[in-house]
Amino acid sequence: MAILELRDVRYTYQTQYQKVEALRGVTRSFETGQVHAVMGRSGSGKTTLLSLMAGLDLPTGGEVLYDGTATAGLDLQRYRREKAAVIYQSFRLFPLLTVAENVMYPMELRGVKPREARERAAALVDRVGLPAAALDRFPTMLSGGEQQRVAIARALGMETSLLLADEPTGNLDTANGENVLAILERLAHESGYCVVVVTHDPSIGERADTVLRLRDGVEER
Amino acid sequence: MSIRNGLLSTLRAKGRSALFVLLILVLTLALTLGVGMWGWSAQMLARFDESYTTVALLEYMGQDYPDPDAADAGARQALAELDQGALSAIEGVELWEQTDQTLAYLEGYNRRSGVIPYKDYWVVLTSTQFTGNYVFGSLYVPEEELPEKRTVVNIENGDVTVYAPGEEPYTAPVVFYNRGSEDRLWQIVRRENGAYQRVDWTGTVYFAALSCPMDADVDDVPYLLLDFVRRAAEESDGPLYEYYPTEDVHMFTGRYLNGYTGMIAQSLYSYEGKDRVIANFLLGDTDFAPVGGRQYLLHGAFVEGSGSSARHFSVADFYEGCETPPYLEVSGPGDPAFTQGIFAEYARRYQVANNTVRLTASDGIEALEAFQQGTLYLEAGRFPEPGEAGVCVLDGQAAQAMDLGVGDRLELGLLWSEEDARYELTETEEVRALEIVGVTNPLTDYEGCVWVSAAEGGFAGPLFGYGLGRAVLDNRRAVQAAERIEALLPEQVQLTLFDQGYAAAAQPIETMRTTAMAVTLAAAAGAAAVLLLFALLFVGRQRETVQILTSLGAPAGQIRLWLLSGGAVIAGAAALAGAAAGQGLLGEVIRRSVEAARRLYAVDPRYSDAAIGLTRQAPEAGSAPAWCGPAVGGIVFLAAMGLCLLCLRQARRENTPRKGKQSVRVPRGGTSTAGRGPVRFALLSARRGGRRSAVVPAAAMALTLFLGVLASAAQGWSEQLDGLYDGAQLEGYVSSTSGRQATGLTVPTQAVRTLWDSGLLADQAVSVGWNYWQGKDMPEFAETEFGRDSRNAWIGRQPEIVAINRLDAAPEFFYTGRPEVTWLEGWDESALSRGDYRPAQSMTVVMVGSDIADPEPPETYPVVAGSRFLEEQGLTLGDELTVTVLYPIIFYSGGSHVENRMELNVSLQIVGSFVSAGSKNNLYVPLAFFCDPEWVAGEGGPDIGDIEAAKSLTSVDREMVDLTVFANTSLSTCRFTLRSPRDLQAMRDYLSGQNFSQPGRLTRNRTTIILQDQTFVETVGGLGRYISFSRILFPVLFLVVGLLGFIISWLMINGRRMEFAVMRGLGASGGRVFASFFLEQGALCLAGCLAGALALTVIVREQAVWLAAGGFLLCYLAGCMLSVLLVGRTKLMALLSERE
Repeated sequence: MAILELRDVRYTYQTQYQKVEALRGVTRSFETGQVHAVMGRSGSGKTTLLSLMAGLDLPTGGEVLYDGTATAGLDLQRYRREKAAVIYQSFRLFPLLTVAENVMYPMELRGVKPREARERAAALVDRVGLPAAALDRFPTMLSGGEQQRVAIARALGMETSLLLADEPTGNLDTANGENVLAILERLAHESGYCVVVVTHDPSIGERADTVLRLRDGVEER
Repeated sequence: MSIRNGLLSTLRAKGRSALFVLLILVLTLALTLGVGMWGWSAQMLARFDESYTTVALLEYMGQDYPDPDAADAGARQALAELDQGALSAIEGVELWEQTDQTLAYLEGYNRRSGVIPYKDYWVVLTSTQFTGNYVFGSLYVPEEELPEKRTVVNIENGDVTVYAPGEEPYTAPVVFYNRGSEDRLWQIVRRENGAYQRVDWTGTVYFAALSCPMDADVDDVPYLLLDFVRRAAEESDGPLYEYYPTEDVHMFTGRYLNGYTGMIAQSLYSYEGKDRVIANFLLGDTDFAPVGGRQYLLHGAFVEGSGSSARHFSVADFYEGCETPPYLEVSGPGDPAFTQGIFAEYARRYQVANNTVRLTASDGIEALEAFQQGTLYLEAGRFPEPGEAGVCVLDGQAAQAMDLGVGDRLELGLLWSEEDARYELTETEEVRALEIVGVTNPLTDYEGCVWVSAAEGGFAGPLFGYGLGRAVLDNRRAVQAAERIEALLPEQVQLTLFDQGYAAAAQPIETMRTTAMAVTLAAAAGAAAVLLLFALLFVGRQRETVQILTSLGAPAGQIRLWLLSGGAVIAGAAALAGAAAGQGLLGEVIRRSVEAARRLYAVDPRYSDAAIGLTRQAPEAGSAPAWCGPAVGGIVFLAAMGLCLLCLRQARRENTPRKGKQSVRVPRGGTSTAGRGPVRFALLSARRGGRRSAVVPAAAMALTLFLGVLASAAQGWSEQLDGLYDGAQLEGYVSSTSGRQATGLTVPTQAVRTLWDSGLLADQAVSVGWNYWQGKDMPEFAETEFGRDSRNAWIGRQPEIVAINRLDAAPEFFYTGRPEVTWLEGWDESALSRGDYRPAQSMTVVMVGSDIADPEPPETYPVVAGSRFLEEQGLTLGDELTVTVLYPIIFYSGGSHVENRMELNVSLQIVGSFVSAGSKNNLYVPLAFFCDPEWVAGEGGPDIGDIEAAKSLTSVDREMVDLTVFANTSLSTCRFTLRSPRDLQAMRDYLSGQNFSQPGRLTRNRTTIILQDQTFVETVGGLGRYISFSRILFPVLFLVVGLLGFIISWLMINGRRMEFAVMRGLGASGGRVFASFFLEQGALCLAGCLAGALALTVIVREQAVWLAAGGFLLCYLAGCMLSVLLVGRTKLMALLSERE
């Protein structure tokens, strides 16, 4: 089932010097239970596309539909809070919150009480393969791979079926990158998540279930 | 190529380059101005130091201050008590010298001005020509001296009695001769029962005439004219005497022998050195009656000239207990009496005493008061060097008189003074042979003065006068040194600081110097920070460039050139521009700063005690130093390049990972579940922020303390100023022209009334005194002219009875303050200002018709006396005594008034006593003894100008008597207190409007007024300046600090944009995100502000502290709010794509 659909999505923005058409009509569907790769060279618009799918902004043309509803008609804050979980290349963890507190944060945004959130966080951290001792550590005390797993755990804490990852292995070494990818694959294939991975790594593209190649803001055919 | 590329890559970062050019330019400009002003003001202060001399005079405020020849035991005691060693050791005291002075004799020197103690004492040889000197006048004749043959006219009834030896006295009534009436041509009248009655008389009569108008009744005739009687007496036997029955006194009116006229053949000694002068010799007690044909050596009372210009010469030792009569018959000019004996001794004594020079020793002659005040200066030559023996400076008058100049030599014979009398001199064997190295300007007051170095000093002998010594002080530390000296001073010793106006001239420059120093330091610190930042950004952070160049194989030198060239151009251009601008503006900035500083320190000097003494003109302002700009510009440029070179190392350093084990950071207590929502995030973030969290409260606390100190200081100064105005009491007094003396003056009563009429005085105290004595203490004086002169001279040496309304107005206590008085029960000092006593003036004698109104009997006045007087007189509190006072009195006659002096017996009761300090036993009675105290400090009193009304006085009227007397006499002292220090300026304006004189500035109204406002004005001025500064500076500082708070909060928020973006990206609402950061920052800032405010409140307890804290908090929160809002408006995608 396509949980996310792109219909002629366009995105144009103004820089200091010029108008940039980052996306010039992308149409695609993304099903749950699969890993979808979005690939392209630098400047092809893939991160922009992910941002639109994450509800960070609205397309300037076309539609992004989540579960049949255009994001333009949704409360984007709520959408980001409840529907679109994002994992970033540089992890984006709160440096002064512990691992557990980072994972708890989205849950607290949804009104979950801290004690309950902590228990759930412990389970999620375990699910991504981190030891319990890591729960009370600051993220900066963990390796890159561990931090990315924390980010994944945080994303899982949102209890949504859409997981968007922007170059999740970009800052990781091969081994850690492999671990993270394996987690994402299990989430897609075993837990039924729709995992969309923006990457320029061809090996990820080969392992993905679908690949969307972008070039100059449009799908490359 | 490297230089070109380096320049291009630097200059293309336009914003950054422009910013640093501006910053470096501004800081270089500020540095140049700061250094320039600092250097200029330091130079000016050094010039001031050379031009000005500050001295502190120590003087004992004794009873006879400022008499330089007084032998005051108190002054000598004070000198003995003074710890001169400690005084010399005080920081800032460059030289301390005790007064080292003696009298010396200079052979051939004749003094013509200044102190001449025996000016009127001559020893002369008279010629053989003597003629009797007869004068016409009235002479009292004791009854026993009346000749047997005489005619006596009874003044009261007109009876004429003729006495002849062997005959019964024959008395006849007066004959009335009316010139204008034919039917009353001759009548015989006698005064009976107060009226003239016609009597029948058939016996011999003596003619008298009553002077009267035509047709007047005999009862109206006021005077008895005795011309006819006198003529009759001359035709008959015996001289004519008038008899006054009431006083039982006979007076001779006619020509009588007053003395002798002779020629002064030779002067053994006389001040004028006169020979061949006709002089009159009055008769003295010894009945000296020279015989013609003989010559006499005389020392005594005689007169030169006659009439109003006659000079009387008084007699001394020869008459008071000396067995030698005032004359000696001599054989001629060769008589041994001219060279030996008492006449020769006295002649020598007078010659020596009258022709002394005053020899002063000092190693700082140019800092002695006369020179320091500019009264004296060198017209030729130089001062002796410290310790230089055998040389001297001579005053110009003496130099002219003796035709001496630089290079000439003189010999001074040192003189020894008696302990209690300066001019009771003994010649010693000690001689000083000196070469004149300097001559001063000729000045009468300093005639006969010689100055030598301390090497020639060390004169033995007691202190005379009241000058204990003087200290030369370091100009800059003079005030502090003076304060320390004052702490060492014995009682009644006063320190007067003369700085020639140094403080007033130097203070503004000193302020400029301090400000310039602060500006320089601040600019230097700023420049250091900016240059460091500049080096970091333009060189240190160019690691990427270095990596690229290295990877391209560029040699190290090329890399260096690339990196440094841009920085060099920017730093060089900016430093050059800043330095040039600073140097160009320096002169103008200095000029304006001096003007502003002088305006800031300007005070109104009118009538101020600060204006006593000479004020030198400040030396001309030097030009701005020309080296500042180039020096500062060069230093800034070199510093920039140096820092760039240092940072070059950093740029070339490769990234190396940190080695070693890193400790695992775990928060205390582990994962927290406390709190909810944005509060939870804020608390956790604040608690775990480490240095980031500490910076905010630390900065907040520091800035709050800073602001709080400023605010409380400003408030404190204002309150202090108000307190000063409310609590201070400003006094003033009438002084001498120089401003140094406040006693022994002639203060016109009109001036006192004018001062009071200003309406600005809270009170006013005056004193006026007259000599008094007790009859039992007065020696016998002959009833001769000389006797009367001697008596008057004796009275003039007696203590005074002083009418006073407050004890501290008395000369005795003027400088030392109120004495401790032991009062009789029920009495206190208020008795002196009470107005319910009848003034002694009410005993004015008024002649009405032919009657003399009897003076009213005096009442008993309360008196305050010294303990020594009570002891000598065997009196105690409550006792009464009677003294005789030589009191001014006014006679009214036919519409005019005549002032005279009358001896009044005054009854006193002792109501208070004080410990005697002065040498005289002065007594103090209420001012009402003299006049109504309301005249001096009160509401009452008629207009002082209404003297015309007093002229028609026909009976004793206290008010009118007060009026007339008060208008016509003078007082000795006057001091007053202003109603409020806030009236100070109004008082200056009033005094100026009334044309009162100031010290050193005489006007037509020669009464000089001093307002003791120096300390008050300095304190108020200081506070006022602080307040003025604060009014300008504080708002700027508050703004800057507020801005700092704003910027800190901005930076704090902006530095966490990533967290912001993550929150938003996770779906947190804008409000939650805002609250998370706002609460965190607010809590941190509040903690710091509270801590700062509480800490300051413990010390200063000012509300302003809390206002300052609140103000800073508001600025911080505003910055925080704005920052969060602005970040919130940034597109999330852009935020998330930013590099951390």
